[in-house]
Amino acid sequence: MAAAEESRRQFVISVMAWDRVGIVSQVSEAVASMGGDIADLRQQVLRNYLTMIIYASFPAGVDRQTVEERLQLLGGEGRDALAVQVREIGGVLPEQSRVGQEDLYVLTAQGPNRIGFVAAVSGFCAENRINILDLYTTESPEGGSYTMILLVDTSGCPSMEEVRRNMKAFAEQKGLSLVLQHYDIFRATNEIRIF
Amino acid sequence: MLRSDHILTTVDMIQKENLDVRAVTMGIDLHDCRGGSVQETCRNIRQKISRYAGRLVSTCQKISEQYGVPVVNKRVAVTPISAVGAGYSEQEFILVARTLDQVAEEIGIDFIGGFSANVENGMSAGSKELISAIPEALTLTEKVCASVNAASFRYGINMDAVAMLGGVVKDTAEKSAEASGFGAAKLVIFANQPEANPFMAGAIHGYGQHEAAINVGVSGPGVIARALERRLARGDSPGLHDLADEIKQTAFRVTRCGELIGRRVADMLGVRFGIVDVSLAPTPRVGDSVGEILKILGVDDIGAPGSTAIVAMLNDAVKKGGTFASRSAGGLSGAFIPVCEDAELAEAVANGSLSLEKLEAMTSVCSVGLDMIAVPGSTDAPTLSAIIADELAIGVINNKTTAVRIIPVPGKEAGELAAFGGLFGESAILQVRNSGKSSRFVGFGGRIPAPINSLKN
Repeated sequence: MAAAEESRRQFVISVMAWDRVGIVSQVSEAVASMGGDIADLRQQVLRNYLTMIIYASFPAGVDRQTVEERLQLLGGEGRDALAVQVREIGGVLPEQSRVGQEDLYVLTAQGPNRIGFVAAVSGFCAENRINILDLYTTESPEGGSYTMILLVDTSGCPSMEEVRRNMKAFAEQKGLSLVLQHYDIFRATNEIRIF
Repeated sequence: MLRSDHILTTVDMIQKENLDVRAVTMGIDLHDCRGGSVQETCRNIRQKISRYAGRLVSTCQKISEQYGVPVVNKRVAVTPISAVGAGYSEQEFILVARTLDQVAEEIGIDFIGGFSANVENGMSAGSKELISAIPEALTLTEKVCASVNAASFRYGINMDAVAMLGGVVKDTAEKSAEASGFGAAKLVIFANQPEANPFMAGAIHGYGQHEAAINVGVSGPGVIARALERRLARGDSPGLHDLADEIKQTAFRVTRCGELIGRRVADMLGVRFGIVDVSLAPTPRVGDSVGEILKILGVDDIGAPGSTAIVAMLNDAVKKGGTFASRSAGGLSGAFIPVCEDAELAEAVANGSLSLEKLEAMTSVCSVGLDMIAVPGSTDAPTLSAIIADELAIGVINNKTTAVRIIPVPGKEAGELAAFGGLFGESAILQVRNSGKSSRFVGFGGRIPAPINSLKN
């Protein structure tokens, strides 16, 4: 990030749109043209719909509304329109703290597709102080079965034994198959260099 | 995060396909345990094993829970006791065996290996006493495993020892007649025995090893079988090279789990991590069978022509995948075909498709030898010795480890069932054709000289 950060304004920008070629290019060029410096950017595409989150700093003279309006203009009308939201952050966002390797687990939940599946599983995580770091869901090609895969941080859990006990009871109660395994196992079996 | 298919494959491997770490074995050097009397030696052995391995079981459990991968067996392997107890009498060696059994019980491990001797070139007085003590030692103890290295590519086959060992196997089985001769299941006779090896009954902590080390034996025939089924279900007519590749990649994953668990256990216990034995070790459970893989790879019955070629390919592919996954592969690495411990192999013996002769042929291209085979109790000692000699010859000439773990089941004949329980499984008793026709050969004694290492034909 550029120098003199304190005198600049810090914005978090979210962009949502139908995916097409050139969105990142248009948005980042527009940010640069306003003197914006992008510190962090992530994008995800889900079923051809794109969402992007940007953390950037702008000169003191550029306000939130200006950035939002300028970016909104990029998309045009109808299907190409961009949904843009900009929020000003008082101060500087710190670097994301790294979760200790010991506390990283992968939780998979599988069961029949039904309303409230994600709510139930994420509710279980919240109740057990399991923080979800990354999450995606898939439906079986034949339909009917739903799978949630969550990368979770268990550093807030007082006892893994208790978590496993609760998980077993929860899985039985909801008729789901839940498996909680350490992230290292997945790295060990899928990556070349791990040690 | 990793791709979802990778994550789900790994979850299935552990949850549904019987992936486990078959054995975490701590090797402990006992050379410094020799005392002024056998009692003092026993005391030293007990203290040293407790000191190093006292926390082995709890540590394995902890790591196993953390990673969600079962560790089936926790074991200790020690310096061959013939070296520690050189000069002891048969009865004194039995005292040492009982001490090993007691300490194994105290620290909660499943087995302790190393009631062993190396006699490939000749037999020292101490080794002779230890070998004579084996039948009683294995009867009086539960957890002690014995092994004898009777041949090597460097020295050939010690036929005096082999002649003696046929009788030792028979005596051991007869002493445990009420348990179908189970004592003999705790005795392995080797050619080229590896000196760091986690698998029983042949685990030892040989010469030139660390003070203590963790060695790991992986498993996972079920994982390989399911991977092959998925590959075949794609319906794109894979060739055998495609299937070998699938085995290789799956063996990589299986071995990596063992490497990870082994390293963590070693770290927590503050000892070195030794080797991963890259193995397909079956259990009698359905879906955990090497025999099943052979059938998936194209023979309708195990023992049918083609079985040897298939097991050769399987063995090689497992080693290729496994060695890349581990910093240091070793031990008996390969596909095991222990008959009693593998439901499909046992079934093939029961239905007559798998014979002793075909098993012997298959062991020339896989690990580890004639393993857990039950033969009639009436088989005479020289015939047992000759079976051992045949198997050791395969190892000596081909520069590989081979072994014999054979159980002459007292009072039973070919076709009857012998059941040993638990991971040792059960099997129909194999027919030994041409029994009683080898005593002149065994009677010569002496040594089959070491083989020439060129003109490989």
